[in-house]
Amino acid sequence: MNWTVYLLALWLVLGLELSLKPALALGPTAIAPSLVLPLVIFVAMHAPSVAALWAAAVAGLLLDLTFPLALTTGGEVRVPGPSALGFTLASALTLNLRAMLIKRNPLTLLAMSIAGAIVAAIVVVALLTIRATYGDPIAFRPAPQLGARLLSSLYTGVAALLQALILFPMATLFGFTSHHAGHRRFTTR
Amino acid sequence: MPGPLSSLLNARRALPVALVLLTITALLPARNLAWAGWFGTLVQTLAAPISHPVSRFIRWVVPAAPLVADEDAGSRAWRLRAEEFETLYLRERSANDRLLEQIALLQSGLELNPGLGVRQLATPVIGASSDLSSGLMSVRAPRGSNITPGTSIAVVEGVQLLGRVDSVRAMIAQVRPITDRSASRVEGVVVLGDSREAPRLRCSLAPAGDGTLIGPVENPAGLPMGVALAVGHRVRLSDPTWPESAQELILGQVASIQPNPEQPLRQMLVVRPLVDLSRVSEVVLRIPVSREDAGAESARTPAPAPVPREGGAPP
Repeated sequence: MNWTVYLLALWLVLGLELSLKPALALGPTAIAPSLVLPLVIFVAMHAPSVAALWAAAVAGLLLDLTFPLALTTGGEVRVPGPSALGFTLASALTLNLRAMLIKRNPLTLLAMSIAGAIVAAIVVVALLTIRATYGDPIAFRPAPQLGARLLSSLYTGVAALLQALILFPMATLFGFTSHHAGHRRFTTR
Repeated sequence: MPGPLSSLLNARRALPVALVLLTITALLPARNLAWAGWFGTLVQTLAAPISHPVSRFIRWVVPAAPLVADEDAGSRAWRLRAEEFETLYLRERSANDRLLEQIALLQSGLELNPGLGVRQLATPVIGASSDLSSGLMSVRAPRGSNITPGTSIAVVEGVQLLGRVDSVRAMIAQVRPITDRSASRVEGVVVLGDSREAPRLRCSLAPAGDGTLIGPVENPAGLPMGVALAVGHRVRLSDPTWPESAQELILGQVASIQPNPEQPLRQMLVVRPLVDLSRVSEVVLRIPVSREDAGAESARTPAPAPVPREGGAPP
């Protein structure tokens, strides 16, 4: 996998995520699509497994670092880990299923992005809820958070479908080999 | 990508170590994670060349919808000007009342805190959080701006209170909007009329989570004849836990009045800010400065820089 292209793409979608999310949110709710996750799933569909897991961890870590959690005591804190672990698990899910996937179909990215986003949402909410059990003063309410994040997962699928139209033609730029890209699943000898 | 980074990122053994470290940091108490803020600011700064122009573009295409939708530009300008002068007037009046109290205290021999001046700084919103559940807003904090968390506030449209600066790191300040779920309860007053002696009702408002504030209001039973609490009345901040420069700023206007389920004789107010606070592209930070600093700064710069006290001299 070409890491330079991946990191450039990640920089771009992270910038778009930080700026577009409030505009794409459904009314005054926190239901908004993730633009970073479809990129992670796309990489997991095509890249070597270790590289895909690293790519997911790096993307998740960047999201964690740009997620200031308000403290009930005033101020904010960035918690490195929840999204990084969630994205890694989402990537692992895709890696396990990818032998059965039709990788060149945009609907595959849609479906896997929804599934990956649900997994990531559960991991993030679980970890932040565990923090609350030992009195960490973060302003976080698990039940509404989980609901909003699960609905955001469905919305992420819509974003993934649009991103597929851009990402799929760029597969060769990412340095995915033809075997991993799924172009030569059936060859003639 | 050949090189050490590539070999690290392709290393099978390093991955479990990284995941264990991430699990530890995910569960570390907040007091041990202050260092992560520096990295967060770094990532936000690196993402700013994309997020800032896109934010500006999006907020230009979909601006924060004003409450009065069918208002032309001229009327809007006059309304904003009138609101600004009303705010200045009310603040002067409350400052006058406070001064009278201070004189009384002086006469009884108590010490006074010196008053604070305010410097205003218009600064762009460079992006939201990557997770909208946070609600904190990132604004640019130029070097040397001396923004102080807790005492610096952010306003939009001149008189609409947006929130309080929560933290400042490198070139980014985080503002916690008053409508954010994690924001604390604020005390306000509903001003029932335009006259100097217009009656006021105290209210205590908490964020509802949908961009509004909700809370009980003082019993309006004792109001004079012909004066009633109604939808559309302005609600202003009157909370001693907020800085002086924030007093009398507008929290919003009454959007609806509901019965209070816990106290049948009381009513609940739903207050909506004059603009959608989640979609503003620029804010004005009001940063407290001491009188000496204010004097020194105005001596250095010929431009009319710091106002001696907020609203002290109307234009």
